[in-house]
Amino acid sequence: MRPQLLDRFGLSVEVTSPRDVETRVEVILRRDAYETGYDAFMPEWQAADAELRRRILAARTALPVLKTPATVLHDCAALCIALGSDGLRGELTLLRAARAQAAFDGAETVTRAHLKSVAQMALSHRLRRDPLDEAGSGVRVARMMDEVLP
Amino acid sequence: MDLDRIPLALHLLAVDPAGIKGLWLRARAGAVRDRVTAALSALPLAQVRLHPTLADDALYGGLDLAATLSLGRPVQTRGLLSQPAALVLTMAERVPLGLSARLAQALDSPRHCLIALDEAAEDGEGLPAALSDRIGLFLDLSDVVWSDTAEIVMDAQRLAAARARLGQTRLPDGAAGALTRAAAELGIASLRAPLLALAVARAHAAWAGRDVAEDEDLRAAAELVYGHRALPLPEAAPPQPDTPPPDTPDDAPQSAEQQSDVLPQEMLVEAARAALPQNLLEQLAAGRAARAAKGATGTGAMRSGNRRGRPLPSRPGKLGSGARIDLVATLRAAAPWQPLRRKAAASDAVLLVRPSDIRLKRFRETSDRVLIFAVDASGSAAFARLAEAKGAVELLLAAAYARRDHVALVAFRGAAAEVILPPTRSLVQTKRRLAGLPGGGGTPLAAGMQAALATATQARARGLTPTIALLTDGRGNIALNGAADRALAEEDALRLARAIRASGLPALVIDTATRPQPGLALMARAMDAPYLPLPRADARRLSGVLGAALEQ
Repeated sequence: MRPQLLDRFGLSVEVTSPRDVETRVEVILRRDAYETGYDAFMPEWQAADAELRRRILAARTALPVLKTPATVLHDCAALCIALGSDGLRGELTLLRAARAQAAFDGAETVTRAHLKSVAQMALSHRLRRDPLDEAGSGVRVARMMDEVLP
Repeated sequence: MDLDRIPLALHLLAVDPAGIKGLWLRARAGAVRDRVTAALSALPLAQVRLHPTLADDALYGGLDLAATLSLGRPVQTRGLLSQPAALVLTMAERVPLGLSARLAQALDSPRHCLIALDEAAEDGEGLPAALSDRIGLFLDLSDVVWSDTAEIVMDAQRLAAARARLGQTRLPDGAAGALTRAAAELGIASLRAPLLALAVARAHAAWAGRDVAEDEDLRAAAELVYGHRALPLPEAAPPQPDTPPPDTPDDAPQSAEQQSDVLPQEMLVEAARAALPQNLLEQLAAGRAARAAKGATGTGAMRSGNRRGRPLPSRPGKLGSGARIDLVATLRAAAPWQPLRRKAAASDAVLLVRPSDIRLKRFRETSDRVLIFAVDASGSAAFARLAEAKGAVELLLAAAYARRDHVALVAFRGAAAEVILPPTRSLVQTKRRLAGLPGGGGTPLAAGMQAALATATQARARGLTPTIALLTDGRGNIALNGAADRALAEEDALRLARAIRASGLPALVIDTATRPQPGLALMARAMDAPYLPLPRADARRLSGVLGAALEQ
């Protein structure tokens, strides 16, 4: 995708098939249970689903009253400068994502830990591409994060 | 191929078409294929025939513009996908990516099943991966002779009984785990394969009249579903010895009967390996390479045509599916009829346009190809085969000239690589530069690949369709930074090979060493490029091989 489009997407995640056999077996078992026994599958997972929904709804109401200390803003800017991402959308998205994470966790204040937990998905697609860097941009973000935000 | 598998696969498909999702049938059109397709009438779904140029409004339905125009009120059509159906896709090897994505989406809902009639004649052609991944069964009839086949009689009564039983058929507890592990061991990355195998095992058990699936069902499922998906096993990479497929019921461990629900995985792996045809591994490799080269990045030769298409005469057609109307031609076609139509319709409208007047614009969009030769002119290559490589390039130049392809030349020797000739069509100039190419010095293989990659990327940005042909003896000993460090040089070359693969460029590696270099074959694999060792080929053979690779 072209960078000007990519920059406007908030988050990016990379999805691959799981490599671990046990995880794969679990995926197959659940999917098969869903397909062959829909009526038994749904009640089994409904409670977990409902809990997740409750958490998300609670986070939405908590979001407006969440406190964002100035240090977190500084961290955002420092990380984006260190990674050399063009424009300011990186910082904005990073901040919003960190807020969302904090609200989801039920915290009252955004902390550096929240910022760090979302930095990879908020920033990895905003870096300049380096065809020779095999590590991928996610690893570069993690590396830089360790340097800038100890 | 084991002929018993054909009726078995068809019966299983007829038991649970929506779960097994379909059949990939590789065969030329002919009597043998007709025997198989005739048996599809036993499927419990209506058959719908599709073709590769099918438009969206045919698939999904929508406004019937022609009928709407002539009736003066909106007329909706029903799409082919609106009813559960057995979709029979003819000429499946020519399905464009867009249609294959739409069909894949249709397959993801448990309503349809797809019978892909794949008439691929050469390696590298074939069904798009999005579809072949979703379809459970595969049959290859290309080596089946008509006289060996019998008419396939579908047992309607037994099928009905099996379908009724399917709902309560269950799998033993360890079955999902065993099939998933077997798939992982065979190098099958997709998680759809184990799911399809479970569906096939269930259908097999129901077909055999069992309520609980047994070893035999799982083994049959693994054979049918994994056989064509398996990657070459590391130890089975050399041509396999002519072992006949094992007589499955006899040598299978009979001890693992109903008591043990957890199946030994080794057995499942064995079964799938034995069912692989002899040359399937090569075909698979070729197909994957071509697919990755063709479609993976979405920068296909068709779309990025640098001429935006030469206009062709417009012709009558139906509106919709992205066609552009040729307004002038449409009006011109409608003009002579206006007095008559006004009279017939008793109307005083200025213009009465009928569906038959509509003319559509047509373009032929071709993208010029550019062949980028990365020629190893190092001392070792010069000593061995530089002259031969030069001769081969010259032969290819003549062919490229005839096809109006562009050619670029990258040479690497000494400490660095040099783009001797940026993409050009001048045959004379290329020949002169090539003849003047001296040999000698170290082998900066990585630098050569980097220069070729850069040239290819530039060419692609300009709308050309690049192909990289790397001619080397593979003994890279100069790293990217110019240091004479063999280990580092090899690492750099491997990284660049991966970069070329990631960029989705079609490439070809030609080993010009006196003996084939295993390291170079590895690198070609990292590049996802066909590897071609040339022990003592004349220049003419080289150009033939490259020509064939380019045709794909």
